[in-house]
Amino acid sequence: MTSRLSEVFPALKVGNHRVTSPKDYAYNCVAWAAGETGVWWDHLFGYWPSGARRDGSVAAYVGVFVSLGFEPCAAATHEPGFERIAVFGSGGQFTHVAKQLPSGLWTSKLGSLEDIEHQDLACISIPDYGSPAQFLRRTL
Amino acid sequence: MAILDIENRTENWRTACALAPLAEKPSARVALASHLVGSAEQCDDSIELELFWYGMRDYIHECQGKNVGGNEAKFVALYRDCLPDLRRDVERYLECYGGLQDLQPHNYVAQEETKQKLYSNLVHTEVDIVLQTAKHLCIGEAKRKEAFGSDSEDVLVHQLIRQYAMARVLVELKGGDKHVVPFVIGDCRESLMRRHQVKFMIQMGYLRERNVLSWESLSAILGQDVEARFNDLAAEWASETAHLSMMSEIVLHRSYQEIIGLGRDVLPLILKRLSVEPNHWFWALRAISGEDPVPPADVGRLDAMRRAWLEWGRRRGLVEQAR
Repeated sequence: MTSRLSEVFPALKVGNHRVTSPKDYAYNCVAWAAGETGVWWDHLFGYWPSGARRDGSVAAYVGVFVSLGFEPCAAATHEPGFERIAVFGSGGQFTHVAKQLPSGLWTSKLGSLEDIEHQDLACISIPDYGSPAQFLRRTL
Repeated sequence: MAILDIENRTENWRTACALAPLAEKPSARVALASHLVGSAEQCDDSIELELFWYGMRDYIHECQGKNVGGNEAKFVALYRDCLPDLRRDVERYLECYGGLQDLQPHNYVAQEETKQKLYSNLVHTEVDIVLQTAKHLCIGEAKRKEAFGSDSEDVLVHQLIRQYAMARVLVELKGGDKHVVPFVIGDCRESLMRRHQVKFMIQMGYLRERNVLSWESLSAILGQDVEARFNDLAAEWASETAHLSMMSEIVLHRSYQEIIGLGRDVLPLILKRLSVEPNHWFWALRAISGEDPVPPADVGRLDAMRRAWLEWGRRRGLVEQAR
């Protein structure tokens, strides 16, 4: 674990996560959850799907993932055969999205920092990220 | 160029051109205030700037709005308290060095027969440049030809001393928690240093030698700090936003907004940094320059955006080697 990550995400401990990429400014968590690593997705100043609602609300970002084939679902439980994401928000504003791996672990691109695999969503719980506001899934 | 062929003898135009940009540049205000008070620790970002300031006159105007009277007696009493030995000090200087205009019996005297004129002197005193920090009131006189006003008909004869007296009285009136720091700016520092009003102010400890400035040295003070301030702000911004994904949160960070506030001076600094280390500088570049060289198809592709901006900077001579 890098000292930088532990400073920002105090719940990240040895044994509950692993770093899976170097730092990269080229893409963010939204791109990562959408399966891209060459573009920064952002409603304001990045790539944004044509026709998608263009604001910073959780609803707008959920709408983007729905347009990619996801559907809202209830919880963070692992379901084989489904790809699941957790859209985080704070005060109704989108902050982060994490994706569940077939193993049941989660993966997050942390802003311009590294990608990590993490045991659960609590590992990346910080005030800036708020809390999971909506879960979505699509069939693999 | 002169309106109606009459030469404008004031230096207000030059003062406005040199100082007005500071209204939008907090870092330059910090740089100047830090120089004047001699300590960066005492200057935060909330430094207020005024040009062509009539503090006493405007205070009176406020008092009239609130129906507060008795200012004449208050001002004269405070003048006596703040500078009780001023006439004697000027006399001693004259005895030792000459140079200053000879004093008339009423000069610098706060008595019954002079108090109305003393009050009028204080109220009608203008200061070209004022910077207010938490603990200091910096008062600056800008000159083009280095001659400071003096009129023995006034009670407060000499311009620099009158400004200092006005500021001291006003600070005292408003609670007395600020130290008055005079400074002067002119074409030639050596010439300013030969002026007896400047010599008197230095000798009395009212004016520091370091605060006798040429216009060139003022530019150097204001310019030198921009890069250091940019570097501090950029480091703070990168450290506090690297984990964020929302561009609105990233670019609305206070340090990023202050960098935008530094204006066009930071364009070469941003481009230099962008050429070495990619980061989300595009919003700032667009906000400062008013341009956007990124083709719509490349928005979000940070490498392509970076190349477009570096090429833009290279074409304008803002970056020597665009990578």
